[in-house]
Amino acid sequence: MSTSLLPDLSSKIYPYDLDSSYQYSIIDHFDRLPDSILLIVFNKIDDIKALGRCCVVSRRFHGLVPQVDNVVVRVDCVISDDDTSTAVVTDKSRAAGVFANLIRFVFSGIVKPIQTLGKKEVSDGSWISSAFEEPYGPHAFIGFCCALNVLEEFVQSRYDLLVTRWKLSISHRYCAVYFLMEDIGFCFVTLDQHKLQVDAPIFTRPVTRVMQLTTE
Amino acid sequence: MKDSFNPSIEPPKKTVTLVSSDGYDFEVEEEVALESQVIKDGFEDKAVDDREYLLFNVHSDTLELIIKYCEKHVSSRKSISAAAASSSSSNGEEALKEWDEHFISVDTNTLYDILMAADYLNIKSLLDLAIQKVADTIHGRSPEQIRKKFNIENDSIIDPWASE
Repeated sequence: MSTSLLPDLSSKIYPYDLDSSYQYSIIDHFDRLPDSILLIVFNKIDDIKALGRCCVVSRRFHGLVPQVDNVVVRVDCVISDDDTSTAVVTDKSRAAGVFANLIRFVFSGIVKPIQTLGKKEVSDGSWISSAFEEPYGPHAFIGFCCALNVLEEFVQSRYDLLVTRWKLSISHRYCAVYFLMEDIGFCFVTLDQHKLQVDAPIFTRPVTRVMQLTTE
Repeated sequence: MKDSFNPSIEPPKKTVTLVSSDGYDFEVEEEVALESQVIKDGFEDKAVDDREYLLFNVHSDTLELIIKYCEKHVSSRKSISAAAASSSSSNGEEALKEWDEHFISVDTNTLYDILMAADYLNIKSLLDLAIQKVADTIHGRSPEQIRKKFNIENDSIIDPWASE
């Protein structure tokens, strides 16, 4: 009789007696942090990729992250527009290459409309430069907005994806927009030194999906 | 009674009493308590013999840590400025940074408690330290790891990692 009871006892009672902090660990302390503090935390992170990951942690994080106003942009990929459409991918990861391919593919469809906005010859091999006169002047800003609108519409209509534009900010240093693409992950686009730069943070899982999209 | 201050042969220093949420008294030096902006703000209005603060939001375990932090910072600030006055070289600031680093290397729940207490007491340097620690913890982790680390329920609508 007692032998049949023993395993039952140990499995039920033992875990609670094992560690008094056990009860502690089931309480979600972190979700009790006030928004104001969480926002300071997010501002401290200041890395767009880490913030992107925070976005998908929970609904609450997703709502808070876009309010962050302190972001440091580290660019991994540069899109240039030779006819061969070579993307200079400095990130070593293979997945980055795949994603960059997708982005390049997406962009190649809108090179034409963008170029018609331009007043200037393509001088440095970067197609986006044709839309701008000065990198950070009002023309650049308008051109950039146009480019992004086109991009957003294009992605949305072509792939029927939910594209969430996260942030458009302009400062004397950079101008960045962040897209959250449902199912794919996200990318963000920066304007820097006459070049439109795309950073595709790396997710391992969606690679197959990306491949599928590029061959569509 | 958890009493971290032991009056010694030195001339008696002014002290204040901090009372934790679970009823413990902590007698600390005035300048240590004044690290908290909240205590500092109302300090002059209080009578000298009535310097007792009830900290309803701070548990004794956390308060002990907070006092330890403030004492360390007060004392090392003194030694740093003393070293600067005698123009002798000192690595006091670096040592303090190292100490901070060690101090804040705690489990998530303690970190949360310190964070809340530092916010409540408005101790800016400690708040910064704790927030930086949380930021560092989040940095470089996947969403799933962040959830696990901070025990956050996954109610996200967008999850690129979710299997189909």
